[in-house]
Amino acid sequence: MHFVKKVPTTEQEKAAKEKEHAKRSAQFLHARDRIIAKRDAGEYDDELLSLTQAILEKNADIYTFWNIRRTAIEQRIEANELIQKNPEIGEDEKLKSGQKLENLLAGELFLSYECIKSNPKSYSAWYQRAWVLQRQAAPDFAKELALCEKALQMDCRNFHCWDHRRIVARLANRTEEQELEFSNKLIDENFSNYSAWHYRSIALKNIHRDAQTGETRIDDSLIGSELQKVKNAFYMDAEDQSAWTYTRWLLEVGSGKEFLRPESAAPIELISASFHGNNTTLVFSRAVTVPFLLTFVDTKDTTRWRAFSSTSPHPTSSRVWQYLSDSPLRVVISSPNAENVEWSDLKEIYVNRRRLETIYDVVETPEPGYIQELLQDCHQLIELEPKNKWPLYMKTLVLMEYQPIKAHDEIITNLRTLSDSLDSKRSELYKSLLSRQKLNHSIREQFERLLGNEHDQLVVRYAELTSLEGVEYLAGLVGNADFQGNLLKEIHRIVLPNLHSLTISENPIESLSPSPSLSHLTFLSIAGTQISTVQSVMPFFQTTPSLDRLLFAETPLVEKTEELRAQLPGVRLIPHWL
Amino acid sequence: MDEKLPESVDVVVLGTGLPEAILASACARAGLSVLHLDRNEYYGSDWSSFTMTMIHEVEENKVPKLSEEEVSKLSAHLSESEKLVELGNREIIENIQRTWIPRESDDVPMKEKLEKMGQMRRFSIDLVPKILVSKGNMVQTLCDSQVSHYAEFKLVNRQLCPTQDKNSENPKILLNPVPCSKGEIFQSNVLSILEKRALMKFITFCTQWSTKPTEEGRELLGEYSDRPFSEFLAQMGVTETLQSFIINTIGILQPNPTAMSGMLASCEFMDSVGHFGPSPFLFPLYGCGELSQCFCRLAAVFGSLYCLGRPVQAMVKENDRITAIIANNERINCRHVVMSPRFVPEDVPIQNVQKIERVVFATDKSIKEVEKEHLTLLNLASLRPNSTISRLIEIGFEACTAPKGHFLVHATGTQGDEKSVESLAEQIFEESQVSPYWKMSFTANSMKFDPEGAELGSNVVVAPPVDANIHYSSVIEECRKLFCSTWPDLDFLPRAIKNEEDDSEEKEASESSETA
Repeated sequence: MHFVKKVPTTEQEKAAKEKEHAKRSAQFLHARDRIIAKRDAGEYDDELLSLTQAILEKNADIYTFWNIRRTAIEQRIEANELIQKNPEIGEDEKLKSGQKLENLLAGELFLSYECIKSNPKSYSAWYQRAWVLQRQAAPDFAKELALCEKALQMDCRNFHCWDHRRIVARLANRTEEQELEFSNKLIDENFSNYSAWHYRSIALKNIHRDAQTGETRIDDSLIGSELQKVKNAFYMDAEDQSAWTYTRWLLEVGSGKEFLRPESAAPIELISASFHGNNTTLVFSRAVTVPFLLTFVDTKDTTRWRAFSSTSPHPTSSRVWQYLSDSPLRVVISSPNAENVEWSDLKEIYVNRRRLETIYDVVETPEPGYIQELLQDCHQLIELEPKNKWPLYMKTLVLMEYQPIKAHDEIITNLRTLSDSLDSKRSELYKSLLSRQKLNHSIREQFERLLGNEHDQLVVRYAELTSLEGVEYLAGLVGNADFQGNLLKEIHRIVLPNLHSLTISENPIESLSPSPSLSHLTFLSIAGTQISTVQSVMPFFQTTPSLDRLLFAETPLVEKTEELRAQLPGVRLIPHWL
Repeated sequence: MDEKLPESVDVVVLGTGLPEAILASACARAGLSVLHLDRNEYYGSDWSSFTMTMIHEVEENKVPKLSEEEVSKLSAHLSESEKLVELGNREIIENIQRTWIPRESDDVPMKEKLEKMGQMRRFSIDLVPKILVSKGNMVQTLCDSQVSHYAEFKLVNRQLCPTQDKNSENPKILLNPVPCSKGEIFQSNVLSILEKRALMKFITFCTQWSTKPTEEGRELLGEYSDRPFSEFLAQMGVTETLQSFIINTIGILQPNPTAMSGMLASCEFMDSVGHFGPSPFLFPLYGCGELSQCFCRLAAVFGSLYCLGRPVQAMVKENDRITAIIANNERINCRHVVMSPRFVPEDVPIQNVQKIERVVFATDKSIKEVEKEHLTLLNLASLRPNSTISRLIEIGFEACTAPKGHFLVHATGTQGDEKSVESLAEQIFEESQVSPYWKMSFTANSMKFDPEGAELGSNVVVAPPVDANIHYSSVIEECRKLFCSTWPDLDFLPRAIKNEEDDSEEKEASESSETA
């Protein structure tokens, strides 16, 4: 249990305890052997019930014994059913048998109640209750809900009880509105209750679910009123993270997507399709599998597809796919629900411009009124509590979502403040947000040029990038990438399979892992990295057959030039700046 | 009534008011033989509660002075060296006025209606209404001594703080429910979001401050420690409204506070929040008069003998000691006499007297009506800044002090040169469209006598008088001091020996308040 202090025991108490323990374990072993013997003999009789009961009363966590009890009870349930069905047995007898069974089930509730009283976190005891309730003729749900409430009063974070309550609420056909009201009650009592806020979010989602599509739609006015409520909590205790987490959930559900994951809720769309001489590259807004992508193309062939991902060398589901062939595929470029299917033979690159613009926030969407209010609230709290990370973090997230262009400088400053002083324990988190902001910022600047047919070069230099996540949407457009002077550590996380030229100079890279995504490289610069041995790069070069120039100036590898030359005979090695 | 009283006891206690009852129970508990006498037929003396049918009795406890004939008759009980000291019957409660107020809206007068429905006895009209602080010394004593077993309590679950619009010419009194616990603050719609924040900060400050030793606490307050509490709060950035809430509600235990005393009072308040429920205060069911009876019951359990409605006439004095008292023409020898101020002989000079203005109204609508009935405490100090005490307590059916749908509103004020609490109460009634149908007003005299004065006798203990304080802390503390100085080798209401079956007193108390 939470909030309960441990009291140290004295030596004397310890000795007494040990003695008691020895005695009890002898008793336990005896009873256990008896129970197991009876079970093996199939004797699921009253004695077995009372034996298991006696032990469970002392230790509710022995799920085997609960299991035995359930078997015993199930046998009696079956026996009762036979009696009820038998026309030769009189009504009195039937009534009696039914009553006996109900008494047994009620007794089971009583036993599990006693167990929960002494051990409120016993999985088995809670499970037994739910199991019994589903077998009783007329379970008393009101009483059960009251029991849950009492248990939650004692420990509002007892997830066993929360789970049980969910089951009871479902069995009792409680409406989502009633459950919402229940969350209100708990939050009103004490808003520092993450479980209650979470329960509330689930209830709200279910209440506002579209009957046909199953999608949750929560309108701005509800988001606004929920924010008013949760605002009380974060103003009263700005350190309380349950309120902030709920706020974030609200904003996400309000915007219809997960924060900083622009593609998370919208339907899957084709982002780009392009032919690159030996392959057709398809990029989707979300990870897709071969059967799905076959609906976009004029081939049934499933063998010549290759997927690329930053986390797996041979993914089966991915956003980026290549079809290996010397001629372009024909591709469906109309939106999924358009009336007429429109095909492209990829004489020129197909780009879903509208979708790419949303992904990289090329155009800022106007923020709803509640967002403006929240920004003001955060601003006020930042002034009142300059040392508290939460309002600054929340404000920064909102700015990244709604004003990534206008507030670029502020976002960068805030993330630095968070990572350097306010919350340095989570500095990596803020650094990755910073990296994302800078990457997107840079992509926005080059957006028109990249979408034009003239250039395939992406340049993001000295931008503190720790990750290139998100760059894969450009897989069909970028052939030449320059990420010089960033904080990238691993080359294999770059998902740009059409790259022929890559500069990752001055990044803290120590070795090169093999990367199927970079197999078309002809030029690679690893100058100024920390790569020091030939062994640490050779596995990679085995996957880059087309490589003809390698720049590795200012690396410890320079001293191994001869060794490297022996390994890479056809490659022009450039150990020094020209 | 006519059974003979014992000839000799250790202690005779005169009057069954709360302080006398506490002292009687402490004596009995400590093993002394106690005879507890009261001239009235009812328990509680000037601390009692009355039903509407009995309330007239409060005016009827006049005792004529002993005639010369009676004096000579009583003198027969004396030995040569002894002399007779006539006991007083001081006017503790005076200027009593009771009226049924006719109302246009009543087709049948309320009195008739209540009588017809047999509801008159459902009232419990306190002479001295107070609240108990959940973690205060009174509750502690009640629990320790197990007197709490004889009573039930409800939470005083609404604290109202009045505010007035300063710019308006005839400002209305707004009654604002003040949130006290985290949950209440969260739900409050009286405070702005920044005020909620400031209040939480203040509460957090209290929690930290209360763990500091006194001197360090004083240092933390710096130059403000002896300046008004409001100045200290203002420099913390607390708005004026919230200052008023904090000073008058959270700091209610200390009238006219300095930063130091205000902080101490606030900490005491906050410490009690959450002990039995969200409110820090309890109120005894059936009224405060119950408490006197409960202590008497404990005394009786430990052998104290009770005689009510007994004419208590005089004391017998030898040199500077009282050797006996004479009641109902019987002489009872005793080692000590405990008496309420009412019994102090008329010739003993009063050291000082505080006049307490008391008015009780009976209404059939709450001063601030909401769905649920509340026990309400309303500090009027901000409307009478020059007086020490000004407050209303509204209690009704929930506290078993009035029939369903009815309330008693107790106004208590120390006298000052300002508007009376009565007129403030009436203004509040008018503005919230409440028309009381019954009213009783009186003055309670909080009399103090020089404890060193030779007139009384060295073995006489005068119990503390009725007082205007909101809580019982001073009563219980004074009783403890008196007891400990009179019987230095005895314990004052020590912790009861626990029985196996009744787990803990605290549990008992919390269970009874759970009904709140």
